[in-house]
This record gives sequence, structure tokens and C-alpha cells, in this order.
Amino acid sequence: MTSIDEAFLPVIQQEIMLEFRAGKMSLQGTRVVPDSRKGLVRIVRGDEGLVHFMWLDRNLNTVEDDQIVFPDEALFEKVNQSSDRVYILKFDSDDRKLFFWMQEPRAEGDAELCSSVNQYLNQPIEFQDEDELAAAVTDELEDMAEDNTSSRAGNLVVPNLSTEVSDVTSSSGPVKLADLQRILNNLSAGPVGIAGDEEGLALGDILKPELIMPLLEMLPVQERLSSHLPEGHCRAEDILELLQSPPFRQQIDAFTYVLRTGQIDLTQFGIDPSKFKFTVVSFLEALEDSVSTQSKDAMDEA
Amino acid sequence: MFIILNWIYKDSLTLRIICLGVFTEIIQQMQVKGVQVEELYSLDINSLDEIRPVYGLILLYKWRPEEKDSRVVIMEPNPNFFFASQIINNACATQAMLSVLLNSSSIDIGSELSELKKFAKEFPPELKGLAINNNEAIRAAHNTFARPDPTSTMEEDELAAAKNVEEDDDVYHYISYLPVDGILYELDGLKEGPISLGQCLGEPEGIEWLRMVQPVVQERIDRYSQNEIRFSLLAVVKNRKELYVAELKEYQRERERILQQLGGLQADKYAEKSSYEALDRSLSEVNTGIETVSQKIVMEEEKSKNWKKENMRRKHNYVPFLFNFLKILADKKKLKPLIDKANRDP
Repeated sequence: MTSIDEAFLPVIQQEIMLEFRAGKMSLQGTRVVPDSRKGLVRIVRGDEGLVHFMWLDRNLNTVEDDQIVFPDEALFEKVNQSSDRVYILKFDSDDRKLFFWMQEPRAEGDAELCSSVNQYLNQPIEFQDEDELAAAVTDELEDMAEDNTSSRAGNLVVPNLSTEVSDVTSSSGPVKLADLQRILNNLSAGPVGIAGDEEGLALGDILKPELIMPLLEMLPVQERLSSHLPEGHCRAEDILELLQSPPFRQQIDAFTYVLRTGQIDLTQFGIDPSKFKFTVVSFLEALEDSVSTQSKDAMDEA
Repeated sequence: MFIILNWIYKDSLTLRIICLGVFTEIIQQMQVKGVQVEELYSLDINSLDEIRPVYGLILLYKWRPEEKDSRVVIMEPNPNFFFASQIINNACATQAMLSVLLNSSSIDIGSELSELKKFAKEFPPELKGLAINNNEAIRAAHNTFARPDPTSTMEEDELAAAKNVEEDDDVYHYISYLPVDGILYELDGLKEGPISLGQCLGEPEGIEWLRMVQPVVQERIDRYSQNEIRFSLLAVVKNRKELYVAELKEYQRERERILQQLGGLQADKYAEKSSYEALDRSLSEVNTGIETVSQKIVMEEEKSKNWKKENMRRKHNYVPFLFNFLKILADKKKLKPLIDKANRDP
């Protein structure tokens, strides 16, 4: 997190999206104590395309903290419990809490700053050159894997899934949301990764933003997927944001788990179960077969 | 200016998220008016004072069966008191919220919950618990987040719950604190009744009960932290936006008054300069007040918007989207290339 080297990086390599004067607070034992130094919060898009939330010591002009924040992962809000201008950056995926106190002279601007912070933190990652950045992002993601909830759904102890299945297109889905949530709730302590190579590819490996992004232009996502999203619209940036959001990633991981343990009736997906070998890859292959059969039938009928 | 917060650390992310989600869901679906749930970062009396009125505190933590408690439980509390036993392990968040809502005299709990309270008033604690869990609206709100199959019978749930306890030592547990009719209570759904922490004077909206409850909660938190038990502390408070809107109206009324007085002075040719200055100062104070409280209103609206968005994402079932997205990819013959690419760069 702390990177002295980065203090000497020329700022022009990073796109500064927002900055404002704010002090930080530190945890000393059981007390959160304000750091009296003049500081700066700076939100930056790094050249790897990820959003950084940084804190600088204004007098020394050095970067002291640098957090990478993924879309839909963190929220910046005012702490009602303090009568001063105290704000918290809290994370959806772990226990991190960072406190700041505003140093901008005009308190009237606080609300707008707060709103801007949240907007910038939740912008989807932009991938420029696919291959280069895929490598860079994968590195970052591997570093984060320890903390990232999305890798937790494997190796679970209580697979008491209901095999009750219903219409795929209804909102309750073939695997009930509550079941997926229950899998995740029954986590053992500490992060657990999805069993890697022995079990093959996971859905999360394919549904990575950098792999999907180049394809989005040619996919009819707006027509075919809008009705399945809570906000009712489905643009390319919505999909990118979604692919990075913790709730969605948790569900992908849980779904991978469900596929591998066979706790699901595949006929509801229109898939021939004989082709399925409890791997994600065979599921996808069977899906592709069923889709091409469908379109072939449609053509034959026409 | 400098603030010092007593940090509540080792909080449990899962608990916090599920409970905040369930609480918000219940409030919305049951149409409970004028309350919201705040996550607490500090037990300092000043920081508790900031968020008054506080209607109840809810402490959630992972419970171990060996916990012993020699305190006396009140078997026949005040007949207005609604104490329900915790029946289903997974329902703790819901029960926690309801224990505060159904016992607080200051909250408008809406018709659905009022009916429930009336209906179950004479029941013993276990039956009260059952009544809660069988209430359609409550089940719906709760199931969105944490329950197994919503159409399963109670029996299946109990079996599942029993299984949970055997296989999983850590069961989520809640304790609420709130003052009812002048006595501060500790409500623990796994006990037979509420525990009295003593007489507590003052209004529920006041600070007295908070002063009284603070060391009790602090002691528990200290104990949990020492034993590496994860916990979460939430407060049921008056809806902040409503508070601020009321404050704004006050300020606006005050401003009207001052402007009228200024108008009066202008008409009076014997008016003294000092009177003008005094009124001017008051006016500027009131204007600052209006500005500050308007900011706070904007802030709460922003928070609420963010929360709704987060909640919506959290409860949305993405499986239909996922499946249909994969279908589109299959349709356009993009699946195999994706698999190949993913295999190439693991």
C-alpha cells in the first residue's frame, strides 16, 4: 500500500480525476486519531487503467497512501457520529475503513466533493491495449486475490444446495439467489481460492473485463440483456462495471461452484446433460452446441 | 476541532452487509416511517450524542455455545413488551431489527407490524418467534438476503438450522438494547426473556439511556475483541433527512422573523445603527445555518441513493443475466475463442 517509489513518479503518467484538501486519521491502539498534517486526497487513473485513491502530505508533496479501488467496491460518506467534517472510505469486500477530515476552507463544497469521489471511484476500468493491460491487470488482481471476496466461493464445507429449479428467465432463476448467498455466508475463516488447474477454468476466468471488452461492440447486449439488469438498461459500460462488481463476481464464483458439484439441473438451460462433465468448459461447450442446434432448427423451419 | 473516536475494530463485514441490507429492506417493505440504520464506528458518548435520537442498539456477533451468563431473566415482563425467541438461526438479523421496532414507543411501525404485534401480544416467546417467522412480508424481506428456500416449510428450516449448528460452530447471534417504560433492557433471543439493566430515566430520544448502555456494550466489545470474535454494531436512529428538513424549516421561519424586524427598523427613522447591526449578525448566522443544514440534506440524499443502488445490486439475481450473456457469446461463436484466450493467459 505505501509506496515511497511512487512519490517520485512523474504525475503526468497518471490522469488526475479529482483532488481536494483533506487530512487523514490513523488508528492508534483503539483510538482513531486525526493526523494534524495538511494533506491532499487525490483520485487518479493509473496507466494500467485502475483507479487509485491516494493521500499526499501537502508540505512534503509525497504520496503516503495509495489504494486501488475497483468499481462498486467502496463508498465515501460523511460520518454522522462526528460533528466535524469527518468522512469515511469503506469497502464492500473487506474490513478496511479509512477516515479523513476535510481541509477545504468552504464546508459548503463538501457534499459535491463527496458525490464526485463516489462517481470517480465507480467508473468502469478502461482497457486500452488489450494484451498489455491484461497482463498488468492480472498482476494487480493477483496481488489483491488475498483480499478479494470474489475468489472465496470454492472449497466450501456445506453444499446443501436445494436442487429445486425453476424457469431460467424468471427472476428467481434456476439457482436461487438465496442459495448463492448462503454458500457465501458459510465461508470458513480466511480467503479460499477456487481450486485452480485441477478443476479447470472458472467462469470468472472468462468473464474478465479485459477479455470481454473488445467483444462488446458486436454483441446485441442492449436488446437481449436489459431486462435482466436491475437498472433496466445494458450498455457496454454497464457490463464492464458489472463484471468488476463484488456482488456479481460472487455470484459468478458461486455458479462455478454449483456447476462443478453438479447441483444443478441443466435441462433448464436447454443443455443436453450427457455432454456435461462437471467442468465449466464442458458446460460452455454444451451451451454452444445447444445454441447452434436451436438456430439450425430455426433455419430449417424457415 | 480535533476529534478522537474510540474505534470499534474487528467488525464483521458479512454481518454488517447482510444486516444493513435486511434492516433497510424491512424498513422499506414494512413501511416503517422515520427511521434508518446507522453503522457505528465509535462508542464515545459524544459521538452517540451526534446521532440522537437513538431508538435502539443492535450488537451482532458470532456466538459460541459455551457462553455462560448468570444474570436473571425476566419471565413476565411488562405486557406491552414484545420478546420473541429466536427460532431460526438464520433469522437473527430480522429478529434483531424487530425487537427494536416492536418495542419502541417512538417509532411509527406501520400497519403490518402493528397488526402482528397485536396478534401475537399474548403469546409466549416461542410462539411470538414463530409468528414473526411466518409473517409473509417479513419472510419476503428476510429471504431476499439470507434464508434458504423461501417456500420450504418451517420444519425443513429447523432441520437445516440444526444441521448448521452441528456442522458450524459459529452461529450469528444478536443482542439489542433499548429503554422501555423507564427500564433499560437487554434482549437476547436465545434466552428465555429480556434482562433488565436497571432503571433508566429520561426520554428514549435522550442521552441518559445511551450513557447507561455504553459501558455495557463496551465491555462486550472488549471481550469479543480479546477473543477474536467478529462483531458488528448498528444503531436504529431517527431518519436523518427528516431531522434536517425540520431544522431547515426552523431556520427559515427564523429568517422570516428577522427580515420582518429589519423591515420594521427601516420604516422607523429613529432606529439605532446598533439594532441594525445586531439583526444583520443574526441574519447572517441564520443564513449560515440554512446553508449548513441544506448541505447535510444533500449528503443524506446522496447516502440514501448510494445505499439503494448497493442494495439493489446485492439482492439482484444475476443468474438470468449471466446465462443469457453466455448464450449471446455462444450465439456469436465467441465462447471458444474466449476459453482459448483465458487458457493462454491464466
